[in-house]
Amino acid sequence: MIRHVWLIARHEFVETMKSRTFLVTLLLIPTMIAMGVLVPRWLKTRATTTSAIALIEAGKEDWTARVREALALERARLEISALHDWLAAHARPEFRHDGELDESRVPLLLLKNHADITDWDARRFIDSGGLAQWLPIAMSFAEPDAPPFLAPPPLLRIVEPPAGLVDHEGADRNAMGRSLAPWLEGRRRLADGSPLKAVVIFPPRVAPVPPDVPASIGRGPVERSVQIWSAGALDSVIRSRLHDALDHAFRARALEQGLPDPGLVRLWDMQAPVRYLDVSAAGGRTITLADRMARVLPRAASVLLIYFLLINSSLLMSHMMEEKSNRIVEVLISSVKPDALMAGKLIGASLIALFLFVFSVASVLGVLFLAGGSVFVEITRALLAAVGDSPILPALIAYFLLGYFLFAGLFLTAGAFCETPKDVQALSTPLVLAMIVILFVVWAYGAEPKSDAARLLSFLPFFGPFMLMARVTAEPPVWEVALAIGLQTLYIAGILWLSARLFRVAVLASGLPSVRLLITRIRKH
Amino acid sequence: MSDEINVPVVELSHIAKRFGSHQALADVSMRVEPGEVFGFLGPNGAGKTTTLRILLDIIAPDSGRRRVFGDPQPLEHASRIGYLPEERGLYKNMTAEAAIAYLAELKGVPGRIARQRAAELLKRWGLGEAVRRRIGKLSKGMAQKVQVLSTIAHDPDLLILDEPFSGLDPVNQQVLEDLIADEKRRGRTIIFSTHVMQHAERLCDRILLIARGRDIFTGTVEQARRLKGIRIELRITGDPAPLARLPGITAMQVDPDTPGRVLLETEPGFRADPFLRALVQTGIEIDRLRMIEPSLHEVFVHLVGADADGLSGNGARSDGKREATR
Repeated sequence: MIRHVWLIARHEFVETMKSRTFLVTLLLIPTMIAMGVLVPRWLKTRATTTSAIALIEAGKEDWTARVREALALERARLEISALHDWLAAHARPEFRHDGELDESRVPLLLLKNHADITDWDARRFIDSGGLAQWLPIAMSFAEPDAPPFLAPPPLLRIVEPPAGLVDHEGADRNAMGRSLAPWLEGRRRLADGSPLKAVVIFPPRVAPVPPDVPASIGRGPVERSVQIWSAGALDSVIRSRLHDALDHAFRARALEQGLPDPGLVRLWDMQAPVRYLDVSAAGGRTITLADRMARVLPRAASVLLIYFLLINSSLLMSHMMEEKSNRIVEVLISSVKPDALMAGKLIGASLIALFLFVFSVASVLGVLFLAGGSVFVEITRALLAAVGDSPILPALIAYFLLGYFLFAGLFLTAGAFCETPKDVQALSTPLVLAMIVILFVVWAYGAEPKSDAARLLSFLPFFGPFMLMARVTAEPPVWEVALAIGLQTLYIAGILWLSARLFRVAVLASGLPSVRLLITRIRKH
Repeated sequence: MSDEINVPVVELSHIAKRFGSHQALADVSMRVEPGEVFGFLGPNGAGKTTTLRILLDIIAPDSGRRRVFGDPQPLEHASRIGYLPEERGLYKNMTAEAAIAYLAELKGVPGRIARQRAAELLKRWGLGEAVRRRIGKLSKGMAQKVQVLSTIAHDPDLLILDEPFSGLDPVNQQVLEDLIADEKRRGRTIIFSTHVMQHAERLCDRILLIARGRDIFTGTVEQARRLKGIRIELRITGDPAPLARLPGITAMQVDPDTPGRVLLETEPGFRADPFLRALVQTGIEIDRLRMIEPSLHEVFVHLVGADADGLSGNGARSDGKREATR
């Protein structure tokens, strides 16, 4: 019996691995992951075009200067952030502490993420020479063989308004529209040949508005609003960058007018000094990105488990259907006991599933690492640290196997009833729907891994392995984990027992038998 | 082994099997001796495949006794049995050699030897070029041959072939007949079901006729033929009426298209001597006389039709079965 199980498992594994469709799947996994990671990055760094924007001041306020400054500050913020990501990924070990950049050795400005960078930081960056000054500083902390730093491409370029536009002070809107149309529609081009993407006009009486008037949501009178002219809707990134710069300029103006000392605007940048500490070390251990990853990872992994089970289960069903439809199953069960056939198939398919799972995870990590993108490298480091420092990996494999055997027996038995892909579809649909329900429930309750609902779900059949996975870093009591695993093992034994009985009936059944007939035959077996 | 010499390879006794409301087998008994080629004949739906599946332990009988190699658990002897199902298929993505070797391994042959044997068989039976080819790339005939070879790769003592000739072209039918003859020479026991009587006539030591889930005859082809009387064709001059009253004649038919041509049906176990004496005494002028042996097909039709009508009489058992004296 053991020899038969082994032979069938080996056959399942080897033949699947050799099949063209599986090889294509193996090729597709890293390719798709690489495309998902690299294409947006490439588009962001290489394919981004810089849009020309003209600013027109119709009044006496110098709004254009303020908007230019706001845009320059945002540009500086992006450059600082990119420098941080690059350095975090490629800093030499002596400039790291607990896996992150060492604040005692690396300048504070280079320690900041985008969200941490204030106007004050951005101004300091610009005033001290900008990227030309800070890149060599960052490089002095980086590995010598680090990939070259790629500065984020500029999204916007402020250009002088084209000559020959109507007098914007006196012109009505119709005349302005007619005057701008040839430029914005691309019929006329700027001196360097590039098109004009948008024209921003600041009317004479435009002023900051409080949040309780319609003008704050773009419903104010046009002649008292900042007019952004374009041909069709602007790209959402340009739109939000421009809008943020305008908000920044108008908010700064309002603060200057409201404050007795304009220098107090700097107070805007004041922040709460926060440290997140973990109790695992006396005196507290700083919580790192790896810690945050460890918090999210189990829940993501539990969803991944379900996803891989779905892929593998359909593979299991279609393989069984193939053997059933070409009648080879009759030869098999004249050679081995149906239980051995089923066990061999389950073990073989579980090895395929495990291989696919490990291959996919390795592909994700490999692509992230090889992608060389600073953010990706940092995330990969944190991911590896999270996996290395916690029981995630062994738990992932253990719960994967529990989850697998809970479902695989049912899928295999369903496959044994199928003779056509249509049968597979009909019988797999309820099982797939059940898995999707489990996915949603685990995702919802996994967010609170210590809640009573999460604990209860850990003991229930089908939900258990995934919920246990989602709770793996929440340090559930050992007795709870042991009891849950014990119960899941019992469920698996029960389900496989029932599946085996159904399987024996199914492999020789022609078409889908009625429930009554099924029960009769199960009793006979 | 010596104990096995006198043990029938297969022994079924009053086997019955029902699928839902359908009585697939009502009462089937058979006994196959070592080294025999045993033909299993019957129309579609007679219960041939069900009987073979019960023999193989693929399904269990509802009642009756089943023994293969003297054991009521045939699956325990799976490594000694080769099985070719009626509906055939193999793994299309596997090479011919790998597919044969895999099935042989399941029957207990070690992996390396299984591969060697698979390659040897393929070469011996004219499929040397197919050794490394995927089965999906082979012609239908070649794929069928591969499947037949997969049933003998583990060198079984008992071969069970369900309609092995169906779907084969005449050339491959001959190849299969040669293979069966070859296996018989090697002392193997072979059971095959068929509805092509010529194969049974040429190959079988004994046959079993089955209809509507019941065995209706077991014996040699010759014995089967004797179940139906011969036909006698006469060309005469004169009144044929006295011919109908001659000993052993059960029916007479006068050919309206050919003057003087008369066909006589005889009873089973017909003896020519008393008939010829009585024929001479009638004084009828005989131009020509020909005795025609019934074909197995005619015997089969005769028996199945008779079984349906609840035949009884010569050679019939009290339970409606006929059995030749061995």
